[in-house]
Amino acid sequence: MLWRDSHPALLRYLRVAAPEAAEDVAGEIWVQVVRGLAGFRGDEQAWRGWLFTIARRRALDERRRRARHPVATLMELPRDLEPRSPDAAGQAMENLATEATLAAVAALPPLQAEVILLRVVAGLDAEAVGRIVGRSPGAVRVAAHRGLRRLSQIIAMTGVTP
Amino acid sequence: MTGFGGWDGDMRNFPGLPSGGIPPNGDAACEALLDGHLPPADAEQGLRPLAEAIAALTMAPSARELAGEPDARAAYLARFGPARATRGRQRRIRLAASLLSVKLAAAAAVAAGGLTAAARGKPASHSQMTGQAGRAGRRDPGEHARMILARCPGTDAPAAR
Repeated sequence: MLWRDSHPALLRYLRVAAPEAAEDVAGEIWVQVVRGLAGFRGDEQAWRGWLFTIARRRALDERRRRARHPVATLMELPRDLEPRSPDAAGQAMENLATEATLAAVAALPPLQAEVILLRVVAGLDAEAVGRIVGRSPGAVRVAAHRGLRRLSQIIAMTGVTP
Repeated sequence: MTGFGGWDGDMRNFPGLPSGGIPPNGDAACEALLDGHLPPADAEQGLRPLAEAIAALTMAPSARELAGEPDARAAYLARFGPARATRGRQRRIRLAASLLSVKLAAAAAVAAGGLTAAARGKPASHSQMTGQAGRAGRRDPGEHARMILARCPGTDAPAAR
């Protein structure tokens, strides 16, 4: 199923691109995908390109919306109002390596973070990423390589180890 | 601008900082990492932490990341699933019913023509005879209806009475 294959990657991208509302934005993206799926033609690479093009636009919309209408985040809520679930601790431990790396990637400049996620998480090549972010493949490669070097520095300095 | 001729989003790496294990001309290593062709086990010692971080980005999904699957499946089925199939099935049943009524009407007309001719003392025409023998004589209308419905995929023929 397309959802099972693509949703985790989509969420990981959105946790950096739209961290305040990754789940909500992902839901909106799938609604748009279902509406447009009948008209989609292409292979797996084209599918991922299409999906992440929608994701990027939605993430940008969300960032603009948040800039216009700031909302209180969970960090600002009193502790007794925070939602809790019995397995919260277990979920926090689960996939800790991925979370730690996503946090390190989120510390990169936006373009570098985005191209690394689109290359690694979405599995797109430099040409496809260039079409999505509106840059040349060469510029995408430069940004990705710089991002990797900086990510490596962050890992070395902060001791983030997946 | 950063003052070094680059955009804010593309600030240069400061030469004094460690490169974190990536060799100065490590473009090939970077591309291998980005393409997923350099697993941590195959990476050089200095590059291993970065390789592990990149590998962590593509780890198998957690249960939390797949938690929305039932909702997504329900939303998809609502648009493409049984509801649509049911509409198509209903359309086929309507089509079969209209075909059936046309055929029954034709059979009735042929039978009525034969009866009229017999009442007038004229022999029924060849087409009227074959019509009577072919349609009414060979099988009953209920069987005929079941046969037509059975030809339409996705429809259930009514049970024999």
